[in-house]
Amino acid sequence: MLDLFEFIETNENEDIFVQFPNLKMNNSPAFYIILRGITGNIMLKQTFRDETFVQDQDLLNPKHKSIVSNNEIEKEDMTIEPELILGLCDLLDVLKTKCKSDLNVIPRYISDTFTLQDLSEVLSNHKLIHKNKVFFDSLNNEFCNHYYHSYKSNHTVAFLHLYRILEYVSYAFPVMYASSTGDFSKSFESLKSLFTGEKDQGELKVFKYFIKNIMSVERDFERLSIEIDIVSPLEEYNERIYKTIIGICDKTIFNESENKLNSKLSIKFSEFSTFIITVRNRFFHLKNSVDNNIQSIDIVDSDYFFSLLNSKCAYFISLITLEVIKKSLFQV
Amino acid sequence: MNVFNIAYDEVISGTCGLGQTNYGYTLENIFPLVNKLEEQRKLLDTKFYKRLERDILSGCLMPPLTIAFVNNEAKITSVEDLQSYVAENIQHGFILDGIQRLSTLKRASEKPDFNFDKEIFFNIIIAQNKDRLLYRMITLNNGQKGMTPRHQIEILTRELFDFSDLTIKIQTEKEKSVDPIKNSFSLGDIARGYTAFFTNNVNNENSKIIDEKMDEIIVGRILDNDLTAYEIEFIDIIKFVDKHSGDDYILTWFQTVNNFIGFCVGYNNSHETLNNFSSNGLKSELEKFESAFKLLNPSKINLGKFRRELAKTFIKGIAKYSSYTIEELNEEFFELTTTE
Repeated sequence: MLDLFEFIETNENEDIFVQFPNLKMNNSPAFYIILRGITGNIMLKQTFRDETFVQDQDLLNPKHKSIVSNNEIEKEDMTIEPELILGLCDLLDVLKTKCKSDLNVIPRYISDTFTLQDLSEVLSNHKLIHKNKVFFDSLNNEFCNHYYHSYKSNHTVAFLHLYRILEYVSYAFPVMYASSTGDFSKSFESLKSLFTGEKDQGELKVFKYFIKNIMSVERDFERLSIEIDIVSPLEEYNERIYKTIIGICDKTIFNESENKLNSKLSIKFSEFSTFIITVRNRFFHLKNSVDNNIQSIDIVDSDYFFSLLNSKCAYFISLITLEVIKKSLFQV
Repeated sequence: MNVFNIAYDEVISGTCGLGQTNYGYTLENIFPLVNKLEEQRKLLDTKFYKRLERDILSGCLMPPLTIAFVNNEAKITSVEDLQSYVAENIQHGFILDGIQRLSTLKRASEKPDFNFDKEIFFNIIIAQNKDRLLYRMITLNNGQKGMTPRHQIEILTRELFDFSDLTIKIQTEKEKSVDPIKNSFSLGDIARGYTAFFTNNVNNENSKIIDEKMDEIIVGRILDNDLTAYEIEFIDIIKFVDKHSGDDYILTWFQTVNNFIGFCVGYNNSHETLNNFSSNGLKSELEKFESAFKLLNPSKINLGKFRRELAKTFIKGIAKYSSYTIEELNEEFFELTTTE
C-alpha cells in the first residue's frame, strides 16, 4: 500500500544520528514518528499532492496569541490598522519559532531523568516497537493529516482530524494505560471504574472518565485549565465567537472566574474532551430539530474559528498521547 | 513615620498597623528598599502609571503601600512600640505591595512641581518569620502580573536569608561559573527545596505545562497548604544540613537535588527524631535508603520522581523506618511505587 505521508529528516547529517543512528527516521515505529511530530521536529511529504512541508510547531508548548501586545501597540499609537497589528503578531510568531529541529526536547518531555540514549534503546527493542503497531500507524496518519491541514490553513479540516484522534483513542488509551500499571489488582480496579457506571456509555464517555479519574488525579492535571484566546480584527467578531462557545457548552466545563468576556475562555483540563466533542457536535450538524447548533454566521469564518481552537485542542490531545506512549512503552 | 493603631494577625503570627508619613520621608527611607529587591518585578511603564505620575503632581493621595519586617525578638505590644520599631528598623523593611507606585513617585519627584510634604499612608506588617512573610507576599501578589511565585521564592531565598554564617556555601549559577567554590550548593536547588517546603509537594516542575499555568498550580498548592501548622521554619532545614555537612557522604546526598527536595517536605514531620541523630547515625540511615532504592531499580523515566517521592516518605517516617532492614525498606518502596 502506498503511504500517504513520507517522513524526511531536515538534516540527515546531524551529529546526534552518528551517536544514535536509530533516531534517524527510516522505517521508524509510528509512536516515534508521533513523538517527533507533536514536538515539532518533522518534515513530511504528502504524496498524493506531492507537497513537502515542515511541522515545526511544538504542540506541547502552544504559543499564546499575543493579545497583550495588541493592546500595548494600540495604546501607544492608535493609528495602526488592526489588521496590521495581527499581521505583525503573526510575523513575531514566525520569528519566534525555531529554525532547526531539536530532538532533545523529546526526552525532556518524557521525564527529567530520561535521555536520548534511553530513547534510542527503546527504539532498538524489537518487542516494544511492534507493540500495538497497527493502532499507532493509524493514529500517526491522523496526526499527519492534522499537521498537513494546519500547514495549509484548512483549520476546519485540521480540527476534524483532531476529533477523529479523540474518537480513535477514547477506548484504546484507557485500556493501554490501565494495563501497564505495575500491579494487576490495581489495574483491575481502574478498568472496572471505567466500564461500570451508566449503562451504554459510549467510548467517548469512557475516555472522559479516564481523564477525570485516572489522568487528572496524578501530577498537576487536576488543577490545570486550558485557555482559548479569542483574537480577531473586530471586537464584534470576538463577541460573536465568545457568545457562541458559551452558548453551546455546559457552563460547568469552564473555570468561570478565569473567563474574560469576549476575549478568553478557561476550560478545565478534565472537561476538555467534552469541549472538543461539544464543538464538533454543534458545528458539524445543522438539524432543524436541535436549536443550539452553530450557525455558520455565529463563528464568522470556520477556518478562522478553528484556528483559535486548534492549538489548544492539539495540546490536550498531544499531552494525553505522550502520557500514554510513555506509560505503555517506556516504563518497562 | 507616625503609627496610629495596632492589631495582631493570627495567620502570619504578626503585628500589623497603619502609619502615615510624607513623600519626602518615603523617598529618602523607603524608596531605597526597592533596589534591594530590584529584580522583584520588571517595572511596568504603562499609560496607567504615567497617569498616576501626573496625578501625583496634581496632589493625589496614593492608596496605602505595604511595608513588612521580620521580627521574633522585639516585643511590640503598643502603638508606641510599633512606631519606634519602624523608625529604628526602616532599612530592614521589605515592600510587599506598591513597588510600581513607589517608582512612579520617584519619577514624579524629579519634576519641578513636586510636593515633598504630601501625606502618604502605609500598611505595616511585622511577621514572626520569613516563611510567613513570603506566604503573605505570594497570597497578596497573586493575580497580579509581573512576578511569579517561583521567581518570588528564588529572589527571596537570596534576599531574606543570610547564609554567610554557615559552613556550607551557597552560590548562584552565575557565581558558580565565575568563581566556583568546591562542594557549594546551587541557590536554584535551595529555592526548589523551598518551593517544595511551601507547597508541601515534591513535584513542582512539569515541562509539559506552560510556565504561567504551572505558576497558578503552585499558588493553588501554597494556598491549600496550611503553613501556620508547621512546627519548623525553612531555615531550620538549612541549619540541619549545615550541621551534618562535615560528613562527605551526607553532604553529597543532600546535593542531589531530588533528595533535598524530598527532605524539605519530609522534615517537618520528623524534625524531633532527626535532630537526635548523630552524623554517623544519619549517614547509616541514608546508606540504607540508597541500598533499598538501588534494589528497586526504577525505570529511567521514574528515577527522579521516585527519588523525590521516596526521600520524602523515608524522611517523613524516619522514626518507623530506622528499625527496618534494607530488604524491608525495599519492600515498602516497591509497594509504594507499584500504582505507577
